[in-house]
Amino acid sequence: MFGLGFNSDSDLVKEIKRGNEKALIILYKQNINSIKKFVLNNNGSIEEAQDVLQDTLIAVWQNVAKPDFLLNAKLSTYVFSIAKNQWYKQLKRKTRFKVVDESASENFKAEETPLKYDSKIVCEYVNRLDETCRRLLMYFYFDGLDMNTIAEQMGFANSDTVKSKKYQCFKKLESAVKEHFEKDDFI
Amino acid sequence: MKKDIERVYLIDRYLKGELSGLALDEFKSKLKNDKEFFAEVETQKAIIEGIKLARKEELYALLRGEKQLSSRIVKSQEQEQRVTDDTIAENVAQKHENDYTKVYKLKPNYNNWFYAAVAVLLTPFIFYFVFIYFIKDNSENLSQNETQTQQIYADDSQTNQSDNVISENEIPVVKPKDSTSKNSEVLAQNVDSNQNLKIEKDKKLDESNFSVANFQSIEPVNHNENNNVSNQNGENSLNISTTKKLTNTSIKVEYWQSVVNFKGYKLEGNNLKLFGVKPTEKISLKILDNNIYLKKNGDYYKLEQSGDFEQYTKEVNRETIKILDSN
Repeated sequence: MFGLGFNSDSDLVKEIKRGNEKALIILYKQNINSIKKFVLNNNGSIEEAQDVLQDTLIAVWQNVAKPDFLLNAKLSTYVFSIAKNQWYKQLKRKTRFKVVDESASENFKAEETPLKYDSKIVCEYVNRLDETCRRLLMYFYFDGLDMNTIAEQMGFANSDTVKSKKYQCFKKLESAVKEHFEKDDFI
Repeated sequence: MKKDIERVYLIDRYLKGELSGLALDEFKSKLKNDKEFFAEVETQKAIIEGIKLARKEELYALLRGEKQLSSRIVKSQEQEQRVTDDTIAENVAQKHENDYTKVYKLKPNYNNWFYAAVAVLLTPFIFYFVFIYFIKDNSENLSQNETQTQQIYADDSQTNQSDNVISENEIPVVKPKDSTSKNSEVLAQNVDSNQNLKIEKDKKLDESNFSVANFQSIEPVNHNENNNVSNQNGENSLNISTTKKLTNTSIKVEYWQSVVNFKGYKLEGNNLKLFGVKPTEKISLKILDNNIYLKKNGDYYKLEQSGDFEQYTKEVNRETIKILDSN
């Protein structure tokens, strides 16, 4: 696209790997029309198309950031195939006749242990952290950026500095969360 | 401390699925046997889920609130408050309302340089089109006022006809290249009612070849300064002449009529274009010391070899006029 600075697939992948959120918006703009067309043609609405693309792009964001990610096709083709799968899954959920094997999903649920703390509360404490800690933890755990990339992006001396800073931030968050739930338990 | 860092990092790697082989086996057996360690891993897992959720919501908000991107400001660390536990529950409830007010740090946009460069490149074109539009607009106004233009044009040609004598006063101050002449050109654009712009150009009236004798002045040998005798005429052959005839030079003279009624000349090599002189008028050319002089109605005008439009300048030096007259 004209004037956006970077638009080729390799540029976009590079920017995603660096955690540049602008790439996400460009991907959204590049793909929204084709996804809308697809979802509208498959019993969906515009809002659903937007939701599907948002889910898709978050998944793409995480996949692309992985160090072993390799783009074999055009990025738009990749996005479209994930969106297609997402939408079909959603359609199955919408229909009364579930094609998914019920017993299999039950087994899966049984294996999964419930989380110790409620993610929403933890999320709230994450947002209360200072900007450096917040960004550092997000880059490391969600975006999956390696220590060197984080050091480069956030202006740390080296990966060791990032590692110890990350530890401090994590402990800060952990103690805050623990304090909250321990207090909660007593009430 | 360093041990703690490494332990947390090891759990990270396990949860990310990066452990394998012996390290994974060791980790799993410790998980089974050490309850404290198991609790630690569970806590870390829950916290990581919370971090992931926070980032996910941030990215969703970014995608949803795309248009508000530019209005977002960088949240300064001083503004962040440590909120007490009691308020957290309320905040969770308001979470979704806050999505759009989240702040993001924007990176400097280098694209602005690109836009600036484009703007600079386009500026001359814009000026050019504005200029063209302005000229067109002007000429339309003129052609609307047809009769008036005709009148002016007629007046122009009348003065042209009555101009038989070239004098310094009548020589227009402007050269054809000046902006005023452009306006005159527009004025002269024909008064066709179909409004087609027709630019009238300078007209060539006639041309003829002049064979001109080339003279060179010589320092007088005697002290009689008034003896200017021509070799050609053989008059006063007793006196020592002050001029010497060299070769004959052929000069091509073209008579032109200027649309802007310009009176002047253009001399380029042996080509002379005269403006404001009629072919029927009697003129003569003389060359003295490589300078070409035009004689018209008894007056001499020195012509400059500039290759550009020049005005007639009357020769006022009496000596020169005398020499020229004698030849």
